[in-house]
Amino acid sequence: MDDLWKIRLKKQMTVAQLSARAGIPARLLHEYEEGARSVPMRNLEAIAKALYVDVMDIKALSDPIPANLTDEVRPPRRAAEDEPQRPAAPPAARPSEPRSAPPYGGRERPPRREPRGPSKARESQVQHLLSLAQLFEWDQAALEREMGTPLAQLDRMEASRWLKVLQERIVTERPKGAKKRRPYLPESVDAFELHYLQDRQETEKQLDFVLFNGDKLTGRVIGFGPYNITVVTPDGAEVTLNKLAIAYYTGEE
Amino acid sequence: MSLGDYLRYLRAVHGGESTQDIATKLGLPSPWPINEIEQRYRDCGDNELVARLAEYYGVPVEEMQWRRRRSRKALTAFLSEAQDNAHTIVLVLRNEERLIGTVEWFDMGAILLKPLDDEKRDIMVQRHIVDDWEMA
Repeated sequence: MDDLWKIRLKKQMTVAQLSARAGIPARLLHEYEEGARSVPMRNLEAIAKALYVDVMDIKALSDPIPANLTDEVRPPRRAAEDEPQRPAAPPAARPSEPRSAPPYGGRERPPRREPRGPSKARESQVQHLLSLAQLFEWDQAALEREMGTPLAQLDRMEASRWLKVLQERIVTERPKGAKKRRPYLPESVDAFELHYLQDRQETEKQLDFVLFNGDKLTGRVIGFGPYNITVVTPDGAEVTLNKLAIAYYTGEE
Repeated sequence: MSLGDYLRYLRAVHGGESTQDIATKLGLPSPWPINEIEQRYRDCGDNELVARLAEYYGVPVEEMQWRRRRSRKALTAFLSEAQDNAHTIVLVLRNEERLIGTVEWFDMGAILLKPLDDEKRDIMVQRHIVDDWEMA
């Protein structure tokens, strides 16, 4: 277990790099490294991941960086390096300043923005609504009557709600235009044939096989797998057939 | 039989060489495009590669293109529609036999047909033997 700053130096990483990789503000990382505060578990995990070390390798509360190492460990900060997304803070806003420093660097607090009204529905939402309406055989006017609002005046929240409503109605009402979809299941399972063979094995029914080369064979299933079927022929011989060699087989219900 | 199944069949009857070997002989940097055609259920691959494979195996390119249009996905869509609507279908097998019946079910490897002339019997057709299909 080691101090955060020691591990970071071993990994030859700057605070800015660690900040970017761990998604933790550089200022907070400096405080962790200086031992000003302990690292909460959530951030500890993010830091450990970014440094490619185990959580247990990092001390939750680092020892302060020795004064003789301060310059080496913590080079003079450049705002552009540590917090590239923020404009350089004026001297009064530096973190080393006492917390009593006036907020906003002594400037007047900017006025709060007025909350914006609901955004207009996205074009993709409108198109999706129209495509769902087609399943109910509605045109745009019928859809607008159903919603009680013209599409042009619909906001995003309402559009989202109506999409959900229509999708639920498609499931429950099954309108004519909504085709039942099931194209993928048979592509991904081979259980049907296995169940069939299992039934034939348990009931000891004969199956007549026609092979790829035209040969024919009759037998009772005694075993099977994904790629082969083993049968006992009427004369008592055991034959294992590769499914690739089988064209088809028939049996009574 | 889809183009993918057909290519695997041709590779098997040509001694079972790997797709890497074939890619090297065709001057391809990787076997990936051949693997994709062989393994994917949908129609894939470009015309140039299909033509080069046809030349390599010595089969008409028209046959390759014909099989390309009969992908596993296309057969699945056909079977799904036939099953949903209880249509009678014709399966044309690779040995030119024609089986007629309704689809009871189908899965990744096989199709269970109920023949029209004998309702008490089932026909379990292996998908890899199906060359073509149509509504009866």
